[in-house]
Amino acid sequence: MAEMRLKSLDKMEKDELLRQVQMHQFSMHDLALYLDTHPTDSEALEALLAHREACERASAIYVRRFGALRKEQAEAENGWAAWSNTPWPWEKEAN
Amino acid sequence: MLPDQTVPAAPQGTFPAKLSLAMAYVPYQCWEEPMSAQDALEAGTVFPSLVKPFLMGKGGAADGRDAAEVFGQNGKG
Repeated sequence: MAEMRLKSLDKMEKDELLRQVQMHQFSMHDLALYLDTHPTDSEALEALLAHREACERASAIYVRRFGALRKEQAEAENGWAAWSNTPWPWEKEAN
Repeated sequence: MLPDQTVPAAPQGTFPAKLSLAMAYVPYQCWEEPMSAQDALEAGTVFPSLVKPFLMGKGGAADGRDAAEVFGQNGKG
């Protein structure tokens, strides 16, 4: 039973980290759209950079613990297997 | 040009000085304090002025203000 609980704790943490990445990524992209039409708006740029940093921080932790989010992040030591064999986000096992 | 018609209340700077008849204009968006990342993800935008949920039958913004009032965007020119 403990093993089950530990696994679900891990899963909760993984989901929360992923949500952090997605949240900040969304804000970043939305602010980037605004900057497309307001390129000199320093407040917008500042907000974007803040979200980018938060996004990079969360994804660095996620990648280290749960594996690559993008294939460029796939680590060398376990080769390409980890990237191609771990369940894809849309697969049942991943959720 | 627009001899006597007046432009509905809009923050200064979001419209060209001279408006032409028979032309559609979209006000230029002004910077406003963005929502938190969490709220933005749920609302679908970081900008409060762009939160426009579909309201069956009732126009205006989510908080019930009518279109003319909402049109003022965030009031900051």
